[in-house]
Amino acid sequence: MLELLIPSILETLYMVSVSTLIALVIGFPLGIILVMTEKGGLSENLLVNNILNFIINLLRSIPFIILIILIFPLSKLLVGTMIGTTATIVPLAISAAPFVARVMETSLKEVDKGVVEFGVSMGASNFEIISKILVPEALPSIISSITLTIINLISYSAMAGMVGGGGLGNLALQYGYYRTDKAILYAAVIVIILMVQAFQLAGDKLAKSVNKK
Amino acid sequence: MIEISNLNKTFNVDGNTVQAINNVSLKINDGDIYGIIGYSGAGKSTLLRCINKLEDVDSGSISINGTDITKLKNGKLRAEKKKIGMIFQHFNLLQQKTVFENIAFPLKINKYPKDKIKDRVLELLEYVDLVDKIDAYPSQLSGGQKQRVAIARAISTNPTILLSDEGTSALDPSTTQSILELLKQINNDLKITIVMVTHQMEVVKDICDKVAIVEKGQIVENGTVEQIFTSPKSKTANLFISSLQGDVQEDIIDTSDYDGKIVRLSFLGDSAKKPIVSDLVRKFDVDVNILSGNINKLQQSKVGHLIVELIGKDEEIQNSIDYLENTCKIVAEVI
Ligand SMILES: Nc1ncnc2c1ncn2[C@@H]1O[C@H](COP(=O)(O)OP(=O)(O)OP(=O)(O)O)[C@@H](O)[C@H]1O
Ligand SMILES: [Mg+2]
Repeated sequence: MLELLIPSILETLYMVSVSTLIALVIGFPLGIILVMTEKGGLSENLLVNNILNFIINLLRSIPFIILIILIFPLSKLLVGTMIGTTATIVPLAISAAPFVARVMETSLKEVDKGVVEFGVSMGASNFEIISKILVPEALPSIISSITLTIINLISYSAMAGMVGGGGLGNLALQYGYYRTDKAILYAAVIVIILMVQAFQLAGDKLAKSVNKK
Repeated sequence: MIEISNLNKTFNVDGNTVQAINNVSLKINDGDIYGIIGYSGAGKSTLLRCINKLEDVDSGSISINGTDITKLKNGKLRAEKKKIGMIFQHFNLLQQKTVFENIAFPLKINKYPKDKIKDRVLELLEYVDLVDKIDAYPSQLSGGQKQRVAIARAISTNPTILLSDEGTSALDPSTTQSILELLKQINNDLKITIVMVTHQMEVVKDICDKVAIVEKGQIVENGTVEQIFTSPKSKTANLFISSLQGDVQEDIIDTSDYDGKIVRLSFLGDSAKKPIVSDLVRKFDVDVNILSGNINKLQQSKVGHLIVELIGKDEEIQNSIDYLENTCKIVAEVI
């Protein structure tokens, strides 16, 4: 059973880590733009803010399984194939990016307005305020947001099996459902549960250890 | 010198306009400790925040040593802001950074030579007497210590002006005293002009040289603290003075309870030392009944207030009042 589980675990980790990274690269700057352009923000721009909000809400309202099908062509364009583990990373990242933008926005908004005002009052530039005040002050909350993203992606990646992606979800589907091997099904489920718990625990610990508040 | 001329500022909230600042003009000289006092919503903070352009103004100008800050943008504005330090009611320290990093922050942003930052921070920490807290985080400090760190941070880049928005309002009375002493010391040692927004007359009494009383976006009265204490003209100024602990209780004296004339005497400095009551009784045919009195220590002098009942013929009473005003230089006001 292990020789089935271990490659699946690795595939899941591969899908989750790469899609988390991509989602962060896209979503993090979007979260910052949301906070900067909102009403009363440092570079208020309601047009940009509204458009961005609309796109984010739109993407977030599409069920993941539909999103996979919708972006088949994009996956093919980007990774050369529509199915398989690597191809699944595209819908995973695209569904997580707006989520990341939203949770980053929330984390950054939690930062006390007073410290931002201190930055403005002492003549720091917007870039300095973002990089030296907002993000460092929000760091514990940002870590929690990333943890949440990873956990979401673990559960989404399990759906990837439906479209020929690998990983634990696929294993459960192939062996547990099609071949009715209940032992593998339960083993896959338990590993997924353990993975989620482990990430949650590690994320909480890290967030707590960096928080000096 | 800070010269505010015809300043106007409105806020729009859900279609309603609030005139937060209404045609304010004010001159603040170099080296002054200038108090801005008023009730909640009067527009004190807004006025202060215009000085370092945390708020944009609608019209008017604020010239700081000849530069109109309201016209500046971007880089030039940021350069000008670096000459103005600010402290806040809730300190606004970076929670995730140590005391050292907090104080070093403006230095780093200002490209202070890297190898000199540590020495500068230590020098500042010595000045505010917190060297042992260098590696502490703000959450480990008391309110007074936090404000000391914030003050060290605000003066780290040698600004010429320090703005304080209710800098002592979140502190208990004895901590307030120590912070006020520190501010006075900074004003004295470093010749920094300090503009202090407050709603506590104690603060004005204890460290300000001059004061402006703000009401509904306007300055209703301003001048030296002595002037305002001895001859307050506006109702608000009177209320603030009587809010001081142990002050004369004008409100509870009902003039109809007395047959004579009730007079409020305000005397400043040397005239406080004269035996005026016995003087009056000897020189004029009046009786003096003391109803209430107090004395307040100001920056440079003392101000006393006395409420007395003068009993006698109208003419004698008028003569005594004239004598007090002209010969003794005491402000006498019939109430
Ligand atoms: N950002 C803002 N948006 C809308 N209205 C504002 C804003 N800031 C201040 N105001 C309004 O302007 C007026 C003056 O406010 P300000 O904060 O200057 O008063 P204040 O004298 O500092 O009061 P307090 O003692 O309560 O701090 C108030 O009516 C307030 O509601
Ligand atoms: Mg205020």
